[in-house]
Amino acid sequence: MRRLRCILVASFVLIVVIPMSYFAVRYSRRPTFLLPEQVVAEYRAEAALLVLAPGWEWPVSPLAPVPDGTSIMYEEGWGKNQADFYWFCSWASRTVDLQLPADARQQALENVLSLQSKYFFTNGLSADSKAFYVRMLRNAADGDMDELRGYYELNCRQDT
Amino acid sequence: MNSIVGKIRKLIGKSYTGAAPVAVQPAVGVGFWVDSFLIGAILGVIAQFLRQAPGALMDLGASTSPWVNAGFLLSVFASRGAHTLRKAILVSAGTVAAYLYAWLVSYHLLFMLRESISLAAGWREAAPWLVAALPASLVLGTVAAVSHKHGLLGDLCLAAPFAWSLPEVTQALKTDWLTGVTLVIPIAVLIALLIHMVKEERPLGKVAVLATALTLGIMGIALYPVARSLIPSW
Repeated sequence: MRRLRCILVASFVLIVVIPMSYFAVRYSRRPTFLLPEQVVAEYRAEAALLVLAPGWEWPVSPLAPVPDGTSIMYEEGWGKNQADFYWFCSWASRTVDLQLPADARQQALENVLSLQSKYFFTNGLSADSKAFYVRMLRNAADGDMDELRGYYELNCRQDT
Repeated sequence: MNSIVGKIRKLIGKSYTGAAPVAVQPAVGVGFWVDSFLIGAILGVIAQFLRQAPGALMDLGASTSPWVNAGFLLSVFASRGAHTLRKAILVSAGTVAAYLYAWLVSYHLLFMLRESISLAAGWREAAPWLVAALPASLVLGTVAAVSHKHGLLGDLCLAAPFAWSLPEVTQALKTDWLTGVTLVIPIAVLIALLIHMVKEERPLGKVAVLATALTLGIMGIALYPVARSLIPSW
């Protein structure tokens, strides 16, 4: 057998087949991206499972109006995250509202603490962010609302 | 330089004939198309990896002429000793087509996989090149086949790589000297191999080769922007 042909085939396997296979496997595991209408459907499906705090209503769409939004794609789960986050904000607003009766705030707190079972917490957060939420919720359960109040003011208030 | 070129030439010659090269080798035939395909795929992957590397190597990966020259060298090699011009053109064009298509597919496929872009987006990048590769294969194959001929026409064809190499070289040298040198070295090696290969078959008209190389190079520089405008992803 000719030496060069053996070298050629071996080089082909080493340089082409192996890297291509590696990147093909990685490619098959790449995140799935959704179209705006798919992400809205995802958001509505998640919203249907959640009950908002009294006085809150679901926005029709979680998508911000953007000038060139036609080609924007969203990571899978983005719509669920938006629904969970909005739901969390609705109950956080009541938890930190000192004008509400104690039993209403307690009911709101129970909802806030159940965030840890939602997609937003289990799938949407990085390990660092999870640690932050765990600490904030634990403090809230212990009666220290400062962090939750600050969070609500910074992230949830529509008028800020 | 000549001794290195000679050694490489001998190695290639031995691999396909089992003996040291003689003045005129028999044409290697269509079996060489498979080898060209493998070489094209290997060089396509290497080019794409270089394309993602920082510095001057990135420009080498993104360049066109060194990779085209490699295919041209293969096609000249494949058509040596063909009994008729028609057969030489067929073998050359087949060789360069196998090389170019393998190169283009592996280059763009690796790009698509590494960058996690959709198949449609990858296809948009590759399609103009795949279309251009068909006439390019025929032209390059014909030029490669005719380069074996004695006389001015053969010398003209032998100088043809300067037409597509000089524009990129001048462009790279304008960028910075390292980018220029990184591009010049592989091109110079490939052209030296090419000239050495043809020189073993027939006498070269040195003045004719130099003059046509210069003329074609200048023409290439003039037409380079036009060619680039035809392929958006160039």
